[in-house]
Amino acid sequence: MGEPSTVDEPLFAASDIQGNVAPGFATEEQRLVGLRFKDPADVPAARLLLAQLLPSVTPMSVVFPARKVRSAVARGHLPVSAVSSEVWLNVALSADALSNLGHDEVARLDKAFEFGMGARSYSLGDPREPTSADGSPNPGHRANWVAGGPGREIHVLLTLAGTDAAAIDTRVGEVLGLEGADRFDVVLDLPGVRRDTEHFGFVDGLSQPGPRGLVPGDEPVPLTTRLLLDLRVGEPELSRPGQPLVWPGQYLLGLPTQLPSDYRTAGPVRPNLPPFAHNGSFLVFRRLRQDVAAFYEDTATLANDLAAKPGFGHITPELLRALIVGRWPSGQPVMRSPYADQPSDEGGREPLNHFQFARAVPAIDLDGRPIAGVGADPSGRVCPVLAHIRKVNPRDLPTDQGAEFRTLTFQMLRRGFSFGPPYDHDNPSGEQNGTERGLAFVSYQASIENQFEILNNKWMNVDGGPQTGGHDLLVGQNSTPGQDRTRTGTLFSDTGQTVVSVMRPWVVPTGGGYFFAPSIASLGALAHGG
Amino acid sequence: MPDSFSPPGNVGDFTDQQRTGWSELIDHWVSSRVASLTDDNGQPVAFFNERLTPVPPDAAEAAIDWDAFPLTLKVGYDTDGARQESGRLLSVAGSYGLQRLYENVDGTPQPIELSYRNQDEYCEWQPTVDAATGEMRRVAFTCEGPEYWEFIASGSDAFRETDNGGNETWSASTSVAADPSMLLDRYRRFAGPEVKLDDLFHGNDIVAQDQGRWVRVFAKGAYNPYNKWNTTDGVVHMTHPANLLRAEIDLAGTATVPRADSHGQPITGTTQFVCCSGFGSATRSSDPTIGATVNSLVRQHLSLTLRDPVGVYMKTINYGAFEGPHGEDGTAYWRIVRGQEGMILRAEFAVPDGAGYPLSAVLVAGEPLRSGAQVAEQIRMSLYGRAYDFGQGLPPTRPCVTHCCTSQVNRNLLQVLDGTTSCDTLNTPGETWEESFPELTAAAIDSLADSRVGDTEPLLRRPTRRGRLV
Repeated sequence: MGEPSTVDEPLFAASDIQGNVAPGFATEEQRLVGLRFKDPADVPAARLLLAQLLPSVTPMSVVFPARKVRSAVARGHLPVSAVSSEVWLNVALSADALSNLGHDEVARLDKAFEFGMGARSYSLGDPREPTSADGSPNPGHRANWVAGGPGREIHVLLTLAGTDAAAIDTRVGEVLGLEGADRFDVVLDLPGVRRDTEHFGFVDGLSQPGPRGLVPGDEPVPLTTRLLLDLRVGEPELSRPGQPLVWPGQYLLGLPTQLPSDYRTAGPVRPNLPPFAHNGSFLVFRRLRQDVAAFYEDTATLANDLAAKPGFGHITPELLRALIVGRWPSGQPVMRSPYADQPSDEGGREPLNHFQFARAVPAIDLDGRPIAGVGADPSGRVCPVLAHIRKVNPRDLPTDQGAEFRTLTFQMLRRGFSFGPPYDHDNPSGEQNGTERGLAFVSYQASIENQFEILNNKWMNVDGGPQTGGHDLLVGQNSTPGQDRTRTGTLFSDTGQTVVSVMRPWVVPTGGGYFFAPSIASLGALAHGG
Repeated sequence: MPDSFSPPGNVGDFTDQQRTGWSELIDHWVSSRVASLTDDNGQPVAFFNERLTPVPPDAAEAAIDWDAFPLTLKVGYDTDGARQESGRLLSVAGSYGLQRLYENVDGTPQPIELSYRNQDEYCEWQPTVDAATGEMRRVAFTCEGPEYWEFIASGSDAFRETDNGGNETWSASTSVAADPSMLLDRYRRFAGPEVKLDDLFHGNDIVAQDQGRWVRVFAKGAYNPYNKWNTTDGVVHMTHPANLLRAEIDLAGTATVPRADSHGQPITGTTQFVCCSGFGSATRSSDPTIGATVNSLVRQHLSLTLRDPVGVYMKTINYGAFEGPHGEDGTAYWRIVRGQEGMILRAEFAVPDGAGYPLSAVLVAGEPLRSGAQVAEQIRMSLYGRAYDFGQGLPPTRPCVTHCCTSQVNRNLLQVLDGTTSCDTLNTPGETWEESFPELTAAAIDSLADSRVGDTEPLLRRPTRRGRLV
C-alpha cells in the first residue's frame, strides 16, 4: 500500500464537465431520448432547445458529491433519505448537428464521429442484407434500426437518470413540451435500469479504468478512489485490483494523456484542440438486442457436443457460458475459479478483478482483507482467448496493437444499462419473453476511432486480435465473405484443443450513433450562438 | 518437417533450380540465427530450423497478427496527417546516413533521387493514378520482401556473404543464375507493359560522399529495388529498409532470448523487451508484437520457428468497410493477385470494369476514398510460426544489449540505442532525451558478449554494400 500519488494530476473543471462522463450517473433508473430535427438545418430550433435544456444539464460538481452520499447510504453511514431524488440530464450532439451549429471543427478530430455510426455500420461488422433469410426485415441492418439509421438519425441524445422512473417520465414530458418541440421528432425513447446483472445473467460492469485527476473542493479529492497497490515500476498503478489509473485525456479532451514508457507521468495534451472541444468527450451509443433464449439454447447444444469429445467431457452448459464470457454469473472470473462458480470468501468486488493474463498476480492485503494471488495464462488455457472479457480487455498481454500500455489507451468509460424485462427462465414461452430486451451500450472516450472502433473492429470481430484464437463469441460479428457470419474460436482442455463455432447472433445491434458531449460552457456557446 | 523451404505464399514463379536455391537461402538464414544464439556451453536455444530439427505434425501453430498501417505514424499524427505521411517517399541516401546520392556518369557525379515508402509494417501500397484525369484507378498492396526479387534479378551470387576483409564466408551450394526475363515478365504484369529491363538495374555506379571520400553505394548493373516501377510509378515489392524477410527471421530468433533487467528480474513488458533486446523499433506495431509474443511462448518453455513457407502475409481484410456509392458490396473490389486468402502476398483494390462509377466514389468505413492509406487501415498482417516443447527448459536469461531514450519534447517518441551509446548523444539545443526505463540499464550492458544476438542489420544496409572506395 502507498499514499495516493496525485502529484501533477489535473484539477477538473467540475462545473464544466458533464456528470455522466465522469464520475458517471450510475443511478438505477436511466433513459436515453434521441431527438431529430424535422429540418436538420433548423439552427434556431437547435439553439432554442439547447438554451432551454442548458440550466438543467448536470455537471461533475453535482454528481461527484451525490455519488459519495449514495456510497455512504449503501454502507449504512447515512439514511436513505439522504439520496437526492433529482433527475440528472446530460446532452450530446451528432456531427451533423454540431456542423449545422457552426462547429464542424469537432468532426475534424475523429473520422468515426465525422461520418457516423450509420455510415460505418458495415465496417463495424453489421449485416449488409436488409432482409433475413425468411424475408423479414433484418433488425441488424442499419435501414431497419430502431434509431440511428438512414432517415432516423439522432441529432441530440439526452441521457436522463435518477432514482425514480416516474420523476424521469415527468422530466421527459417537460422536454417534449418545451418551446419549439414541434420542430423535432423523438426517434428514440429507451428507458432502462442499471442492474448489476445483464440479461444473459452475468454480473456486468465490474472492470472500469480509473481516471486520474482531482475534483476541486476545500480539499481536492481524487475522482477515482485509491486503494493503492504498489506494483513494479513499469506496470500500471492500480486504484484497486484490476483497475489501472489512466490519465484523463483518454476520456476528456484537453487533459493529459497516457504515455508509452511511463504510467505515472502525465502525457501531453492532444495538440491543436479547438477551444470548443475542451472538457468534452465523444459518446458511443449502441442499442444491442440480446437473444437470451438463443444464447442458452446454443450453448446447451454446443456444450453437449463438446462433452462428447475426448478431453472435453467436463464441459457443461454453465462452464461453456463462463468460458465464453470469461466470468461466471456471479462475476467470479474463470481465471480465479476455472471449474465452478465458487463465490469468493474474500468478500467485496475487489477479488473479482485481481488477475492478469500474461503475469501471475501475488497475494495482497487490501485494508486488512487478504486476497489470494492467481497464476498467469498467457496462451488462454484457463480463460480462453475468445472470452469476452479477454477480447475487450487483454490487460497485461502484448496484443496485435502493440505493447500492453496501448490496451490502457483503448479502454472506455462505460455507462450502459439494460432495457426490457428480465428473461423468465421458468416460463420460456411466457408473454414477458416475447418482449425485446438488451443492453444500451454507452461509452465515453477521447477518440471513437482509437478506442471503441479498435475494440469492436480489431478485437471483437476478428480471430487474430488481441491474440490469435477466436472471435468474441458473445458479441463479435464475423462479416468475412463466405463465412456465414459464423464466429469461431479455440478451447483448450488438459489433453487437447478444439474449435467451436456459433452461427446464430446472440447480440444484434439495432441502432445507435456517435455523439459529442461538449463541456457545459460549449453547450452554452451553442445555445447562444457562440 | 519440410524437406526444403518453399517460396513465400507458395507462388509458382521459380524453376526447380531456383526453388532449390531459394530453399538453401532460407535454410541458411534460419540456421545462421540459430547459430548466433548458440554459445559454447551447451545452453538451450529456443529457436530452431524445422528442416533440421523435426517436430511432430501436431506441433502448435502460432499466428501473430498486427495492423498494416504504420503505428509510428498513427501515434505521431492525427488521422489525416498519418495518411499523408504514409504516402511520402523517403530518401534512400538518408537511410544510409548520407546526404545525397549521385550517379557516376563517366566520372562526373550527377545527383540522383532514390526513394522508399514511409510504410514500415511489412506492407506497402501505391495508388495508380490516371495521368489524363488525375483519378485514382487502383491501389496495389504488397508484402513481398525485396530479397525474393533480388534473387530473381541477380541470382544466388547476390547473397554471398563476406567478412570485412572481403573473404567469402558463405555462398549457396546450388548456384542460381540471374533470370532477367522472369523479372521483366513479372514487373510488366504488376507495374505495366511499359517496363524495360534497363529500368530495373543501375545503369551506372551510385556513389556518395562519406567523410570526405567517395564511396560506392550500389554497383553498376546491380538490381535497383528503388527503380521507378517499384516506387514512384508502381509497387512490385517492399522498399522500406525495415521490411526485409531476413529481418523477420532475425527478429523472431532474437526474441527467443529471455532478458532480465539490472536487478535480474525477467523482462516481460513489451516495450521494455524491445528496448532491451536489440531488434526493431519500439514504436512499430509489428516488431514489439512479434517479439513479445515469441518471448512469451519461450517463457512457457516452447521453442519456436517460422512455418514454411517463410514469409509475411496480409492475413485478413475488413471487407465490410468497403461499399459502393449505392450501397454495393465492396468485396468485389478486391483481387488477390499473389498468394491466397490468409496468406496474401499481393492484392489489388479497384472498381470492376463497367461499374459505372470511379474509385473515388467508393466509401471506406463511410468515408469517400481519397488515399490508399484508408484501404491499408483495413488490412491485418500475420506471420506464422510453429512452437514445440522439446523439454529442454528455458534458455539462459541475458542482460540487455540496447536501451531506449524518450524525447522530453514529445514523450511518445522512443528511440532504441545500442548499449554503449548514451541518450545524451541524441540531445539537440531544443530537445533533450532521457533514459526510458532506467531499471533496464543500471547494471552494465553486456553489449560485447551479446553482440551476435543483437546484430539484426538488414541485408541491404550491410556495410559491405557501401564501404568501397570508387
